[in-house]
Amino acid sequence: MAAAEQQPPAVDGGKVDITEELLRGQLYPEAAPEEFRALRAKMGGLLQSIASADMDLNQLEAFLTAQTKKQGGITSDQAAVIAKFWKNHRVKIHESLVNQSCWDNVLKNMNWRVDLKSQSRHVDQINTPVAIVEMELGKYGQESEFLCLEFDEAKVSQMLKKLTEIEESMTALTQTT
Amino acid sequence: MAAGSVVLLTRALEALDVGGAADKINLIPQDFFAELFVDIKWKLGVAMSSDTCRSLKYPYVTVALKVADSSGQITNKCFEMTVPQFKNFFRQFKEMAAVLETV
Repeated sequence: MAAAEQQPPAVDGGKVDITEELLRGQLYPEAAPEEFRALRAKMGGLLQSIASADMDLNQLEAFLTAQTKKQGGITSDQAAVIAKFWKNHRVKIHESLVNQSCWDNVLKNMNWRVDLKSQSRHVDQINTPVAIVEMELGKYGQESEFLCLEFDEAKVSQMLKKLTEIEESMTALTQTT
Repeated sequence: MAAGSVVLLTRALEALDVGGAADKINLIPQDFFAELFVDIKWKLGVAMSSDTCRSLKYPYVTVALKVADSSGQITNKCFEMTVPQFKNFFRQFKEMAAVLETV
């Protein structure tokens, strides 16, 4: 069984449903539907195991080798194709799984500018620079809330101090794991 | 929008001596509804595992921004950031500080 190196089906901006029938027609038009279903289920199952464990190359090799040795397993050609696919897409797939498990608000986007704010109520016109920050907050796949915040220089310093604390904690964490 | 700012907005709109409502709205600066940053609280965690992925193992920081609106009311805005998202967030504030210094 060769890998499907053919042109992928023309998917109109993700609006076409990737059905089993579509895949079969594009990849293995001569295969019987039940035969294709079994193949798809087997490959899908293997990829799910690999993705769920976020396997590194060593784990992947051991896993795929075991699969080639068992009854009703895969051929070494199939193993090679799966390995190639995982190496190329591991990071993106893992990132997608990470995002799927985040159900709280995330910072989708952030813009800022610096203004000179004049205090006209005072006798002395004091021009203080302020940062205006717009943050787009929301859950993945849901509508966003736009938060507009004002920071003076002192508040930016305060923020930087806290962010430095976070960074130090992150560094400490990644060093111990 | 807090009740206080609706009153302010109405007065501001009336004071603008230009065309219709649409024209007036376009003249309102983006930061009219800006809230004041008060404080930030944070928590660092590691997502280990989920129903779709047994080996997630990604650190993330949850922050709660304490903000005050024009009437002085305090609210908490919470959100999560992964490590790369946090790094970008941090970098933006460093840039902001640099610009504020030069202005």
